[in-house]
Amino acid sequence: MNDDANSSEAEVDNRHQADRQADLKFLTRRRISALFVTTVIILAIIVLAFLSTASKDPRQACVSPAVRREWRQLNNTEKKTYIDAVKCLQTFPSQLTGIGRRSDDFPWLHRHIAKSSESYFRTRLTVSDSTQSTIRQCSYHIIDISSTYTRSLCASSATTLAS
Amino acid sequence: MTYAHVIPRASGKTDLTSRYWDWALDWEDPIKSAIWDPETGFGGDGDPDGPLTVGWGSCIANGSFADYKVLFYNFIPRLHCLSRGLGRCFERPWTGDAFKPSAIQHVLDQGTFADFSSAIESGPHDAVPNNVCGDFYYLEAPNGAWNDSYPDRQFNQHIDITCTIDPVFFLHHTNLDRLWLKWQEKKAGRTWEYNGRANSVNLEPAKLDDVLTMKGLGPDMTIRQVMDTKSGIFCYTY
Repeated sequence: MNDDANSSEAEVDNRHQADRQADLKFLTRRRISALFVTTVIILAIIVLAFLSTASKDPRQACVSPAVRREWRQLNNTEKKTYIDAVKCLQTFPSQLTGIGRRSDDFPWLHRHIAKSSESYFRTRLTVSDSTQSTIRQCSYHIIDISSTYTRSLCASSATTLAS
Repeated sequence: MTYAHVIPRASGKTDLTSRYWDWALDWEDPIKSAIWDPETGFGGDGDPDGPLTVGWGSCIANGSFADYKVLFYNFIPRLHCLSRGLGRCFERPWTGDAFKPSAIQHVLDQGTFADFSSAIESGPHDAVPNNVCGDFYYLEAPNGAWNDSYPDRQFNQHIDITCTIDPVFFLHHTNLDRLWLKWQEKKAGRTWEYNGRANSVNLEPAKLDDVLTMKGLGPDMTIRQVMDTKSGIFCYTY
């Protein structure tokens, strides 16, 4: 009897232990799966963050390029918009010169970009000058985008200009 | 504020993409171009009866830019009226020979970037400012060398490049940019072709990593960043 009772107690113990182990396994599994889900979420966030950064990657090709049009392809309203934007540059103070208007920044900048060619002129070297061309070839690109830059500021509100 | 913010704004609802002036359309008589219309263009010639101001030009007499004041000419800040002297700085009429069809073809037929660059530079690039005169005027010979036979009557021997004062400068240069893109698209692999000399002082070879300074008007950039019009900071075509 005792033996029986002992054995049944032991069985119960074993069963309890098995239950506990099962519980433990279950909990561990749950923890693991929770950990897994968390990891997946974190990874997903990282991947998404990476993708959103990647979409700002300057090397990525643009999808729908803006089309630059010849002056005569514009209607009178479009011409006026452009002219108004150019004149708008005069309504803000200069960023670079300290004395002029925003429109005076471009000649100032252009002069400084071409500084090396200026010293070239002054020293009167007789070598042919492809450099100055290359500088200018690229600088017009930049000056052009700067003008787009500044014009777009003018077209938006003056508060943006302050930022 | 970066350029990445600028481009979407510029190409948004208000179409503020750059415009260009295709002078080749006006090669037979550049002075009669629609670009000089007083109301729907940038104003025309300086007033032929007005006093000389800068670059052998005089104040624009009428239209949208008649009241347009500019600060620089040369190194000296000196507030003056936007001035032009169409065909007056060399005392000979302005012919469009530098941008007639065969001249444009010659530019596009060049085999290397360096050759293309000098052909466009000494061709249409110089021809426009050297004939618009006034604020747009370049005090330089077509090959880029200073020449004593072109003295500046107003400011005596100082050489400067403040030609961006004339708003037409940007439309002129956008057209040069258009021709550059045309040349790039003529042959595979040309988008990244860049050679010649880096600058005229040290004679170093030009590299895509050379830096273009913006002096704080925007971030400095490398040449590499401005080669392709359809990636990176640019997203445009013609």
